[in-house]
Amino acid sequence: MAELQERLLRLGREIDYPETPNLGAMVRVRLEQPARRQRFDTRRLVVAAAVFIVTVGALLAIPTTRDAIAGFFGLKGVIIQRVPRLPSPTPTGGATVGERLGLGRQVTLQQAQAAVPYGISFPQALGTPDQVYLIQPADLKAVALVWRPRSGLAAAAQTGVGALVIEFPGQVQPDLFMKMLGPDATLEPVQVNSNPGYWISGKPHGFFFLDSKGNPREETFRLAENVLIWDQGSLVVRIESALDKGQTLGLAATMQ
Amino acid sequence: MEGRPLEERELVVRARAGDLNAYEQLVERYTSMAFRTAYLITASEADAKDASQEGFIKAFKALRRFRPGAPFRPWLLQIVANEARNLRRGLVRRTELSLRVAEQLGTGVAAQSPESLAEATEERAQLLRAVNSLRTEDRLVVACRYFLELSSEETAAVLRWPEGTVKSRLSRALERLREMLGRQDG
Repeated sequence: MAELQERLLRLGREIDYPETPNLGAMVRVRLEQPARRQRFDTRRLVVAAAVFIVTVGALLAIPTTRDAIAGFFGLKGVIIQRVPRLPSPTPTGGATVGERLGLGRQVTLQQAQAAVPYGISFPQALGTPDQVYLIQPADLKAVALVWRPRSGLAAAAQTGVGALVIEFPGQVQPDLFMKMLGPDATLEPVQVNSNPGYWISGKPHGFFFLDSKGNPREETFRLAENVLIWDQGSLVVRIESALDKGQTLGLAATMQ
Repeated sequence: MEGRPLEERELVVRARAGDLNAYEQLVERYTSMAFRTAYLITASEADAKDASQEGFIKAFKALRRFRPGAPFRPWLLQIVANEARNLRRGLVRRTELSLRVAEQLGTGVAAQSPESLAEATEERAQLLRAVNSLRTEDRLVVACRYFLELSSEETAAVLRWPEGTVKSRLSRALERLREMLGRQDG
């Protein structure tokens, strides 16, 4: 009876499958990070550092070279990677800022402080944050602080908020996020309050939160624009806003 | 397989040589198929996502063992299906397949009267309930052949059964479905 087979074929076209995920970007990111799992091999680290010092200038200066190399620049808590082409961001729904940016659970500043083992600090020049989030899973001990746009603090194109500060202790999870720099984003080593850091600007770059195994969490992939990231004591701090480098460094100087 | 676009062969050759751009194109081309295959096996969206992603990673690493010119799709789906089976092991919960609601079904549906639409919907729902109630191996062979529209050969690769087994199990599964539907009709 061919009729049953035809009915099954028709039925198959009407199955309610969940939405197909955007795996191209995820798979590519995972295949492009060959050196990650060997980070704690000291000899490799020394070699990597030497290569880094030698090549960073050249990579940043010569577009053709830097496009060709999917390099990896280590800073505690963050993987920064050069890619020839940025994957397209995961469409993010969500009504609140936290949902849109994958920031986790909204809490009060006091609740956040009670949940993390370090003193939450933020640029005092910004005033008290308008929203506070505990990034999930909570054992990462990572917080996100949000300031709404206002006069002198324009909304950043990629986040829609005035300023976004994320901080977490680097020792809890060696890496919490990954940045993918396309050919047009610039990466500049800077000193922030006498600590090493990077200023990333130019064209938007990709931003992922990583899970505990160090794999990018797909749902958190989005684009970011002007970002200052640095190691502040045991903390890794990241500021994202529409402000320029001088202004952001000025904000960072008021961290407390 | 004849008629397969040369482009795919070219992408496979490039990916095999380590070209991630080419591989990303292959991933994009087969994500939907891989995800659905994994979903039919795991019956869980999260597991299907993990299985298809892991499958693509493993496939890339195994590309050196892939025979150039061989059909890529069944080879890939076999790896994805294997990941899906590994994830499925030990699971107790299982989401049953469901149908898209009538409004999502697109053209052709609108022209029907509400009564015939309701009737057709009920008929499909009844058939799906029957498929859902089949035992796992019967359900999988039906899903591969009719829902994913794989050939017998591809189904054999995905399920890791000999092709003869695919045919005999399929015929047994269809027989069971007929019995069930007959009982319900009567």
